[in-house]
Amino acid sequence: MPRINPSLCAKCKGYKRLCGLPYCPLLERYTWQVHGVQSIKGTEVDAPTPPSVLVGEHGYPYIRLYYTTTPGSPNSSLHDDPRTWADKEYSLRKIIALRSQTVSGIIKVEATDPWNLYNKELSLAAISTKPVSSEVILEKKPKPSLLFNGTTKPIGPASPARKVVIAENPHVPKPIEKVLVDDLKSSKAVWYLYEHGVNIYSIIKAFSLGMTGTLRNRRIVPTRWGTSAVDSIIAGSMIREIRSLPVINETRIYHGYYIGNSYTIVFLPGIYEVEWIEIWYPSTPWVPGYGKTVIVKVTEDHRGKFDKMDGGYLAARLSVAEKLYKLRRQAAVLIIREVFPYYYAPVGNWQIRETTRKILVNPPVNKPKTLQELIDAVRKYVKYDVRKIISESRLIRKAYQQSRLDRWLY
Amino acid sequence: MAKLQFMNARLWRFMIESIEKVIAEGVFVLDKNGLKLRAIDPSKIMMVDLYYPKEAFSTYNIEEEATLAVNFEDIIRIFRRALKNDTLELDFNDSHIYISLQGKGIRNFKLPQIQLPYEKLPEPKVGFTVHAKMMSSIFSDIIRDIELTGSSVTFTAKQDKLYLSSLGDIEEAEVELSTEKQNLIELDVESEDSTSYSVIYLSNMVKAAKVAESVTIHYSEDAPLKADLEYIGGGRLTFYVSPLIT
Repeated sequence: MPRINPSLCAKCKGYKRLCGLPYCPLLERYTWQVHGVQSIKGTEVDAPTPPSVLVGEHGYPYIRLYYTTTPGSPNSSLHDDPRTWADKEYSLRKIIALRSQTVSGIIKVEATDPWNLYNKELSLAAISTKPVSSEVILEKKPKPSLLFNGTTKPIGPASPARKVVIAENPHVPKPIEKVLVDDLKSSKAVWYLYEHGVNIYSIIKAFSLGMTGTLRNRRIVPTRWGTSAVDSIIAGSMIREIRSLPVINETRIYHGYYIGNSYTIVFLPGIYEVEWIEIWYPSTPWVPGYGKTVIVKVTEDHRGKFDKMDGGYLAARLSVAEKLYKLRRQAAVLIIREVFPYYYAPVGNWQIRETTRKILVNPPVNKPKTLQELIDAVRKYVKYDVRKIISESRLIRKAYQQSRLDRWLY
Repeated sequence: MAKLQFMNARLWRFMIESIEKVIAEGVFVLDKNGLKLRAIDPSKIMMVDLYYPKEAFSTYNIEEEATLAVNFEDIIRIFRRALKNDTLELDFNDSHIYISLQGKGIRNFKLPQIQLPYEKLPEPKVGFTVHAKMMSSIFSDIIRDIELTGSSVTFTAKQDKLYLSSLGDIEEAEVELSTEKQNLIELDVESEDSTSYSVIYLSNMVKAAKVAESVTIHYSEDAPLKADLEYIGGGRLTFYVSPLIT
C-alpha cells in the first residue's frame, strides 16, 4: 500500500479522497479482508481450487505452500487467471476483490521432497486446466488478511491446514504429463511445455512444484523464484535464436496502459540489447513517503547479461522476446514503464507480462524516422521528461548517433 | 597437436579481457609467422586486430596453418587465474584446447574447441591525419578521467597539442596532451581535425593497455579511431572504433 500522510487520512476519514487515490485503501482493505473470512463457516473448507498454489520462500528449504480455494464462488477459475484479467481489463479493485475472496490452507513442505505433493495429488491439482474440487481442513479459522507481494498475486485469508484432500481427478495437460515422468533438465522441460502451448502460469506452477527437472534432482521452488526462472528460460531460448536474425529496418513505438502502469516500448534498428527504465511516481507502492520520483534501470547486453536481476524486467523481456521471435527480427529495445498512483496495491508481475504482451500484439502506434520525431512521439505517451530519458539512453544514442565500421571496410 | 608457450601469462590475461569485451567468440589463425586474430563486434562499431610474432613465444610448434576457435567468455575464466610470473602453455587439436598455467604450481585446464567458421575480414581503409604515441599508463588514466563525466569523448588536434574533452550534464573534462609536457612520446598532426567517439568503446581497451608498452592513437575528421597497443616481443593489438555522427 502507498504511504500516505496519516494527517490526511485523519481529516478525510475515507470520504474526501484527499490522497488522490480513486478509493480509500484503508477501507477497501478492511472490507476485502473480512469478505474472505465471512465466506467460510468453521474450519472445514469444501471448495474448488481455481487451481491456485503459491510456494513461499521464507525459511527455505523448509517452506510454506498456500493451497488456495474459492469458497462460495460461482466461477472459481477467475480467481487465478491473469490472462483473462488483463484481456478483459479488470480494474485493480476487481482483481483485489477476486483474490480477497479466496481462502488458503498452509502446508509445510521441504523443498527437496516434491514427491510427497505428487502422492497427495496436490501438484496435479495445481496444474489442472479446470477447477478441482477439494476439501481443506484448517487448524483454526483464518484471520482476515490480504497479503501483497510485488511478484506474486495477493493472498487472501490463510491458516495452517491439517489436511488437504483432492476430491476430483485433475485435468492435467498432456505435455505436463510427459515431462512429469521424463528425466529431462528443467530448462529443456520448460521450453518443451512452452512450445507445446502450455499456459505460462501452468508452467510456472509445474516448475515451482518440482514437476520438471531430472528425476533425482527435483525441488520445490518458491513461486517468486520460479516465475523469474521460467520467464528467463523461455525468453533466453528465443533470444539465442533472435541474436542471429536480421536487424529490424525501422523504429517502432508500441504503447499501452493498464491499472496505473503505462508501458512504452521502442524497437530501434540495432542488434538485440535492452534498456528497461522504470519510473515510480510518488505515492506508488514501492515509493514510500517522500515526494520524489524514483527511477530504476536495467540493461541487458547483446550476450544476454543483465546488470541487475529484476523480476519485473524479466516479465517484460519475455513479451519482447516473443514479439521479436515472431517477427523473425532482432532489435535494440527500450522499455519505459511509468507507475502512477492509481496502482495503489502491487498485484504481481503478471500485469507487466500481460500488458506488454498485449500491446506488442497490436500494431505500433508510431514509426518515427528521425531522432526528433522519436522524441515528439514518445512525449505523447510518457509523462516523464522525455529529453532526459533519451539523453541517458545508450541504445538511442547508438541507433541515431553512432556510425558503423562497415563504411570503411569494403 | 599444436603447442605454444609464452613466458608471461598475465599479459595474455589482460589482452583477452579486452578482446572479450568486444567479441564473445573468435578464431585465432596460427601460421609460420605468428598468431593472428581479426574480428568485429556484432554491432559493427569496434574491431579488434591482434598479431603476435612467433619469435615472442618460447615454444611455437605449428606444423601448418591452424585455426583455433574459442569462446572468450569461457577462456577468460581460466586466464583470470594467471598469476604474476606464471608461464602460459597452450596445446590444441581439432576438438580440445589444453591450457596450462605454470608457476608455483601447475594448473591444467581442458575445454572443447567450438565450431566457428573463419571469416577473413579486411582492414578498415582510413587515411589518418593525427598520430599520437603515449605511454600505456597515460592512455588508461585519460580514459578513466573521461569516463567520469560523459559518454562521449572528442579528440581535437592542434599543431603541437592533442585535447580530449568530454561533456556531461553538469561536469566537463578536458585533458591536454603534448610532447612538451612529456605526456606524449610523439605527436604528428597533418590536419587539425576533431572527431568524437563513444567512451564505452575506448574503455574496453583499458585492460589490454595495462600490460602494453605504448599506445598510439590515429584518427582523422569523422573517421574511425585506431589504437595500436604495442607489447613486449613485437606483439600488437589494434582496436578500431567508428566515430559518432555529428
